[in-house]
Amino acid sequence: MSEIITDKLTGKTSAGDVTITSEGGAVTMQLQQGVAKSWAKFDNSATLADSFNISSTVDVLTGQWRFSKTNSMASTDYTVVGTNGYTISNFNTGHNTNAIESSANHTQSKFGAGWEDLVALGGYGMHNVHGDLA
Amino acid sequence: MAGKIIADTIETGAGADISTSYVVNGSAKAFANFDGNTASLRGSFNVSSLDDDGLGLFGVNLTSSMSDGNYNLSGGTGSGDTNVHHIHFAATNLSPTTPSTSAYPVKTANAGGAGLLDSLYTMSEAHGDLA
Repeated sequence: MSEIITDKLTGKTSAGDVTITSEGGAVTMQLQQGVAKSWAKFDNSATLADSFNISSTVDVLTGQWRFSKTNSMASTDYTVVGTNGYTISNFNTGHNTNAIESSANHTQSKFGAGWEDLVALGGYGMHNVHGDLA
Repeated sequence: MAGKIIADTIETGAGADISTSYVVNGSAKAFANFDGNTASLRGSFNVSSLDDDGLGLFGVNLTSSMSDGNYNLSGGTGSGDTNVHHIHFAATNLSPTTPSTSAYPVKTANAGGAGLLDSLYTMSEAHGDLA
């Protein structure tokens, strides 16, 4: 068994391109592209249970939360996916899309046309982000 | 020539080690962010093309295939209006009807059950084994 001990991986030909071989061995892919660039588990008051690359949060309004990133994305064309658990009606998964920024993203919780909070005790939201960092 | 390292484990200088299987298995193998109204990709990885198969119906075609159809898909939508949209990855009226090694279906619909709708922001990610 071999082991690499390092703090940093940098591509040799291109610094931002480290190639990994697929599980089946048939193809290769760019490591950087597949790595989640941020993720969060949070409660209704936008308090983080755990997170990655998130510098601060805001409980914007009912059913709406904002997550600022420590390191910004290269553009606003990244993906945000996730889910919310234990909302008042126990139904929703909405993601704000009208306010995606390179340095922050929002998530939402909706029921019908209205916003809906997570329940105070045990409610949580989760999301993750893939795309290009700046 | 680019360098190549073959290793089972990567360890940080702080002593935290992680099996390279977590890096390979934990990496998203594809993602797509597109406008369902125009069926145009905004950002993507390992996506060769996007099929517009009708209102709320799409096919995401992969550049490098997955090893089988048993990979994980997650997604979210932003309707751009006051409606809540749901996203699904299987539909009898799509081709393929369920995720295949080379493509996966996307269906977006009104959460109230009022039928198919195009979502302004349609986002999906795939995790699993590449071929």
